[in-house]
Amino acid sequence: MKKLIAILLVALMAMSLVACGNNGGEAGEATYAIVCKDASNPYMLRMISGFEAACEALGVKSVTKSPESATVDGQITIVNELVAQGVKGIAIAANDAAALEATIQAATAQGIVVVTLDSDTKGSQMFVNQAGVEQVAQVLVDSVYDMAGGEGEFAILSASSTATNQNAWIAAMEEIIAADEKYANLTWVETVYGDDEPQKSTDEAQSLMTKYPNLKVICCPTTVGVLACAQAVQNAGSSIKVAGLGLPSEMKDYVGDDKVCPYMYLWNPIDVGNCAAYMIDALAEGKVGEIGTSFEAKNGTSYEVMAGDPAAKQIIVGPPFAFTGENIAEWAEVY
Amino acid sequence: MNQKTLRKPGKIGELFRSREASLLLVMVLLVAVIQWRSGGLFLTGDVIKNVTQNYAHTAVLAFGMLLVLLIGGIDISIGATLALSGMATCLMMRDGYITNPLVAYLFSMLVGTVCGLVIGLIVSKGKVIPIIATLGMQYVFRGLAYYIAGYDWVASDELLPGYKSFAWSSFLGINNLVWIVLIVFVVMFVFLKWTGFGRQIYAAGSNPEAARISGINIDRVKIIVYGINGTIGGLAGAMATSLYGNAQGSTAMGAEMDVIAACVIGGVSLNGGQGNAFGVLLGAITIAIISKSLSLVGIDAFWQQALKGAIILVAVLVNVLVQRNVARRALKRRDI
Repeated sequence: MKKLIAILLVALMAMSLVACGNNGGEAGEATYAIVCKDASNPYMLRMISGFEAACEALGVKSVTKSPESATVDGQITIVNELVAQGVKGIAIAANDAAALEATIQAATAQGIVVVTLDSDTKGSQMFVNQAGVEQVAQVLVDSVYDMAGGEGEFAILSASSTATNQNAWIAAMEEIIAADEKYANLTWVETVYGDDEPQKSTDEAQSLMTKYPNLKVICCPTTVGVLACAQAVQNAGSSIKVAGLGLPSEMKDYVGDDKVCPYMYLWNPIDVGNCAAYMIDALAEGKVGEIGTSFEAKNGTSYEVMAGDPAAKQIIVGPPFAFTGENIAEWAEVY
Repeated sequence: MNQKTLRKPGKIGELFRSREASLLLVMVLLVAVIQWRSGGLFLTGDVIKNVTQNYAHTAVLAFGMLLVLLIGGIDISIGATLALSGMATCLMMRDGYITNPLVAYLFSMLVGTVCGLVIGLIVSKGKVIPIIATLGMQYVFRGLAYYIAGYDWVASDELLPGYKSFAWSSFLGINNLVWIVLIVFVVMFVFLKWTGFGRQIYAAGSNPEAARISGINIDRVKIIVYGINGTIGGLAGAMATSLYGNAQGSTAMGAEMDVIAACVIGGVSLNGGQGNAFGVLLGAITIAIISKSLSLVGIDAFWQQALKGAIILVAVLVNVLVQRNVARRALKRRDI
């Protein structure tokens, strides 16, 4: 009896492996793969849908792979698997700014086109940048300035202390504030990290309210953080305003003129995923020129090739988009 | 005086010698340090309200973990059980199958119970050691939480208003979630101290062989204990999703470590058979205080995790040392 159960279990396991493994792509057919940061993130999900749509338009197969949690070692394993399966191109949202370099180089050596999207890493041929770091930092600083009424205390509630994007935006915000007299009356009291976890983010948001009674704005450049923060501020009945980057569908309850978050920003993740697939195609066909030149991708849009860091080159998909009380309901339907 | 009276020093003496008394001492010290380092911000109504509300689901989980640890088991899948039951409940609400907050809570507990019973069966009938069984089920439950939601979140406006407001309203000046913690505590306290099955749990954990010979069905105890732990996991899933007003597949990732730490601080032995509900309540409060203090005192984010671990270890150590000291003194007096 025990043996029978054991055999049945092993058979079940083998079957589930086969079931999970059949999306690897067959040899001979061109396959583009997208590797996300982690398995559960609505933002990444929209990026994937854009990538898939573009692959369909280009007539190639698309494959989606994500590590269980946002770790770089999971991504390294996935990229190695994809190389072994012989995909034509890989788009990856890197979980680390450096650790993927050797893996990507090994893939490139096999003739595979590797681009980064959302989060860049060393070794990538092209970074599909959702929005320029300076552009994002500028809209964040301006929303803090506007919501605070030009003067007073503000704080930042970020994702984890090692998150590449958030740290780049925060550093750029520092530069912008230091460079312009206009922002001289803003006081940046603290930067805290909610680790993109609801419990920790709520704790941090509530502690900011306790520690700084004169706080006017909390700026959260992360979709999990901005949601937890908006909820904590609203439930505390505080007059603090929340600025930041958020998903319209998640933030619908909190965005509006008379609400805790008058407006917020984000770019369209569907466009980012879409663009990444067209970039793989353009790179594979050798269409992309030197830095400073521009080219037209098959989606009909022209992109300017810019110097990347740490990727060799980068293109910018578009400026951040503002979600206000007027358009939030409409965008909540989209993503 | 004869030996017997010294070994049993009466109700009040017992209280002061207990592990809980030394833990209370540790807590007072901890709060004093935080109060001083935060410039007097910690002991305020708002902070206490926030902490108790934000860590209510962690505390509830600790009572379930207590049962599991008492029978010499462990459950590292409880964070995933929370995520799965919370997600399943919110999806049912989003799609209009659940229209009543109470039904939502009960449904979440049902999902959690099923998760717990599966683990109980694997551990007892499958004879898989608990840490491996729950390690495996952790991935299964977490994967299911992502899968049933299609890797998406359930947004705030898709939940019942009553479900969300429940977590943010109070009864007699005490937050509803904190009431749940108190009720679970009282039930657990009575259950372990004054019911036959509670005794069986202690017996099964401290000496399984003797318990089996004395006629206790160990497998049955294990299945029921993991089942109750699952029910509590499901309850915590409803608490967390109603509190944060959304369901994410990655919710409570790593929460099991906070929960186990709360039990260990509360004097629960990982070898089974030792620990009680009051200790766990204090342990859970201590974990909440430690976690909150990290943000309130303004410790550099790079150091927070390391510091949290260090404080937990120190709390356990101080507790053990005080306890040992008390025991030694009692022993010395007996020798005279």
